[in-house]
Amino acid sequence: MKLCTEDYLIRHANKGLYKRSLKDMDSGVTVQYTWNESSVSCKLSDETLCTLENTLDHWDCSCPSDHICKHVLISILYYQREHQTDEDAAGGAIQTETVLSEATDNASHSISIAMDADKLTPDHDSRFRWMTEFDLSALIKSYSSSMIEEVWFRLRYPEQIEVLKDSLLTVRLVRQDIEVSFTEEPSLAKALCKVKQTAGNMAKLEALLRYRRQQHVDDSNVLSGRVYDTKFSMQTVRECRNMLADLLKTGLARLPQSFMAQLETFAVAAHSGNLPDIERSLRGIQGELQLFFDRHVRFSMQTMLDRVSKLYLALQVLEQENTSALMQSQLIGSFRSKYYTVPQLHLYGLGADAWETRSGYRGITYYFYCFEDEEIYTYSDVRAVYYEDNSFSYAEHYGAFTPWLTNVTFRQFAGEELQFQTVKVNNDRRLSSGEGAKLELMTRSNVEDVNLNKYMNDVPSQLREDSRTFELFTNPKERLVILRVARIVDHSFDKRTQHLNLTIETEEGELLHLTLPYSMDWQMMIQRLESGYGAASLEHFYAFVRMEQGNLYPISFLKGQRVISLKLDIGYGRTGRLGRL
Amino acid sequence: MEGREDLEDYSQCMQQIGSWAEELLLRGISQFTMKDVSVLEQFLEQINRFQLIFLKEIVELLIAEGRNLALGNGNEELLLNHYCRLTQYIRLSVQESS
Repeated sequence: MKLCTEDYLIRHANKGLYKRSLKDMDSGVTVQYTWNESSVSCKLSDETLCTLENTLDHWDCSCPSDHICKHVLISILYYQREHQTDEDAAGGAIQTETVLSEATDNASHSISIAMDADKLTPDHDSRFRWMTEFDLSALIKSYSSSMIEEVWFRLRYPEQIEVLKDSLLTVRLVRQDIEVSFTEEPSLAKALCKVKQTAGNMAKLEALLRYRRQQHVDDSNVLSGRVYDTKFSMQTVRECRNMLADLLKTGLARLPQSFMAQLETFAVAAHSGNLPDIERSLRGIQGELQLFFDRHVRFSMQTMLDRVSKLYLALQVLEQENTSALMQSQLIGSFRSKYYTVPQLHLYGLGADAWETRSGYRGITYYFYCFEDEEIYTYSDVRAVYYEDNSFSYAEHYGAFTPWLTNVTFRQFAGEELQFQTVKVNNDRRLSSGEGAKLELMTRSNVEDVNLNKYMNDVPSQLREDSRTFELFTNPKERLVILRVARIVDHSFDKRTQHLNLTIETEEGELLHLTLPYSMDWQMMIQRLESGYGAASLEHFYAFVRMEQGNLYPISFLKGQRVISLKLDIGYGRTGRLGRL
Repeated sequence: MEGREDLEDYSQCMQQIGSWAEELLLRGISQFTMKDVSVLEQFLEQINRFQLIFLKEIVELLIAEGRNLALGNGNEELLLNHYCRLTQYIRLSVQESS
């Protein structure tokens, strides 16, 4: 059933074609109809032959056009003009639906075609009730999980929608300037959109989901159920658990060094068994165990016990049959999260941090504040160094040129204000280095003038919240805050914990401790900070800080247009004197 | 004042259980003996005092399975299970109170 109204035909074809068809009719084109079993043959007076069925998705025309042509429109419009006015004159109560499907009934004069929206029945809102009430999982059945994932991702970005109701319900995605018109039939395939193929299908889904969200429908359960892919090797899960059981039974004291090789083997097995987080956990245990064998001061029995027992329980849950797909996917994790294109991102550089994990990765992470969604975005340069021949030089990577602008180094990139076009971003707001993104440097605002919203407002409450989060299987989220610092009051090196502690006074007058753990790589930074390095002349600045289990780890200091990333700028070269801020 | 003492006792209790678990990791579950059973029974008394029902359940299961094992007819897998749960329980409670 279709409403062949003016807007319906215009959306299906286009305005020009619609007008031309009317013009042709005015200049005398006529149509003769022959009713067939399930179609109507239309012979135009210019000898063109069209066949229409009960929907506009199927039609046939003797003209060479691939797309819907004026002949099809004329066939419909002529019928409306000639036959409907007859019916009008007969005073029949005109139903507003085209019933071409009833064309089999030759005598049927109930075929009527609405000319405009004015004649619609008064409860015309109910016609689109399906958009919020129909089972979403049935509507998106034909969509692949990757398409749903991408649309779901886009929903995170603000997009204004305009809803227009006539004989169709049209949702306009304002920023993208795309219109999708829904018919009263509960189907996304029947919806009309100028964008074609995959992009069009995604626009239809996005429009529907944004409309549903506006109507306060929560779709996250249905969507997440379709997005997670949980195929993994059960055998590997079992074997890994047995290996951990062996470790726990034997005890660390009597564990042979060869166990390291076993862990390596299982890490590789977990990799090929599609168990990314299991692999990561195994490598974490491997790293911790190496510290134990080396009798390293950093080894912590508590961390070791935590890592082993957590993985053991996770593997056990995976072995159970009644674990839901969502839970499984949380336990399995993912190797490489997918990246989706975002039209535009306006970013403000907050500094860079260098790190090394126990599971054998080294890297530098660059932090940016994004004005669009008021969140922090990161870009990471990472290398696995768990094989001996791999190495990663922080200084070299920090000084290298960025993939987007070949005359800009990462050092510079970290402290600029940027505009990215069509950059790819993943679920954790990480930027991809992939091609296609365009980067532009902008004049950098003073950090004091940037509205950093929640990252600044709420520092005490964030500290409180940080101490309260405890989750079993998911990794704690990185918490980043920006502190307004009056001055650095004191510094001291704690020999027992091997940490350098900076005591700062915030603008609110509170004393806080910033912690910088010692490592060979950062010897220079620690020494420089211990000797002051211009800290005395540095007052009233911002500190960008990572919060972890009640500790504050400083990443960078910001003042005016400048940024100093503690590890990378003070640790290397001579540009990082704090006084220069 | 009594409340504060209780809180201190509580975190001390959690710490003691944590230390015992760490020590067992070093020693290995197969070295679980009747001595561990009596240590756990002492914990149980304190746990009862704080009315930690779930923790009590875990420790009781651990005691039962551990006793079987020490007497030669236990199920190591089951014991491991309870042990790992206990460890994670302690970790979460330490995180909560820190």
